[in-house]
Amino acid sequence: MKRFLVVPALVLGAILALCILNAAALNRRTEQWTHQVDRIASLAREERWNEAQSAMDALSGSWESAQDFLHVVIHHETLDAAQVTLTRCRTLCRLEQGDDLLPELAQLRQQLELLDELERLSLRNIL
Amino acid sequence: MLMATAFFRTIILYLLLIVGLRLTGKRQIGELEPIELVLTMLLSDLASVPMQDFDSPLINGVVPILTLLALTTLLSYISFRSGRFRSLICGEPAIVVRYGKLQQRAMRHNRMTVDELLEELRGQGVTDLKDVQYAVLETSGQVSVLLRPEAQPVTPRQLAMNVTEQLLPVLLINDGRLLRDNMKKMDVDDAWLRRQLKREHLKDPAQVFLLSLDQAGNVICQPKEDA
Repeated sequence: MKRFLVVPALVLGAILALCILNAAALNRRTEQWTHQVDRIASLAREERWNEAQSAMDALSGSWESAQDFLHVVIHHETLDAAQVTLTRCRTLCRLEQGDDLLPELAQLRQQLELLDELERLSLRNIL
Repeated sequence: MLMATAFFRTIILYLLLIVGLRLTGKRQIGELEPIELVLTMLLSDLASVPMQDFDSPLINGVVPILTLLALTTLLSYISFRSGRFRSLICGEPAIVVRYGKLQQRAMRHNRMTVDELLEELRGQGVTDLKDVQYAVLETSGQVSVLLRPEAQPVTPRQLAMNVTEQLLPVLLINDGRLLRDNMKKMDVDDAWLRRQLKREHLKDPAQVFLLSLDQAGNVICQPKEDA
């Protein structure tokens, strides 16, 4: 009879743990990506385009490698929006168009922060 | 809707629905207990959303479903262990008719109208309220009726009659299919079966639509119409 208490309690505990781990993993990744975006923005402002493009490639690589995980936990439309902005940033960085790139990077930063915020365990999200 | 949000929202909405259903009274429930009804309502909807919305990760459907199933098992366990908790979640049976008299307060409390009560009584073959000793509105929303002794049907025991015991027949052939497990249970073999078929002028079990046997050895055999 005890299993009717233990099994659901374990399931609920496992789901809660999964939620917390998932939020932590996403927070770690989005923090890393926003740092990279900030670095690209500062390099673009200084017009150090070669370094900016390398940093942009690193950001794209890291973003791509996380796609499987992201698609499992996040609404695909949200991811698609961030992907479009990232692609636009890469193109502008390659074309060395700093004036257009900086607002796009700001938007990308906001979209990445949104991913973290959506998964954060907070009363605002729950309610 | 994301994972942690889905988890906590599911818990909040589930508890809210149970409380809501309890407050609306038993008549809204039908044949299910409040916990079962809430689970049925929520599961059917939760399962259909991730099936159709391909943009939404499957996990957003799986987390609430698992949470609901675990919560339901947990609440069922606690209800089983604690009578007070059970009456809090499922409510308590309410007497709505006592010795032919309507219990208006209990009916009002459970949002049960006179029409609904009379309909339930008619459904159970009771047309005169005076015949009812007790009518109880169960936690499942159904009404159980206990008739006054003088209105109850006469039983063979009251008439001191000897009646033969009715035994449960076991199916041995179902639409031409031989049920060997049932034959073993009834301790009959192929030779016995052949004899039964021969008596009905049949050769093969495939020609039989239904063949049953009870503990007293009574056989009912019905051949297929096209046999």
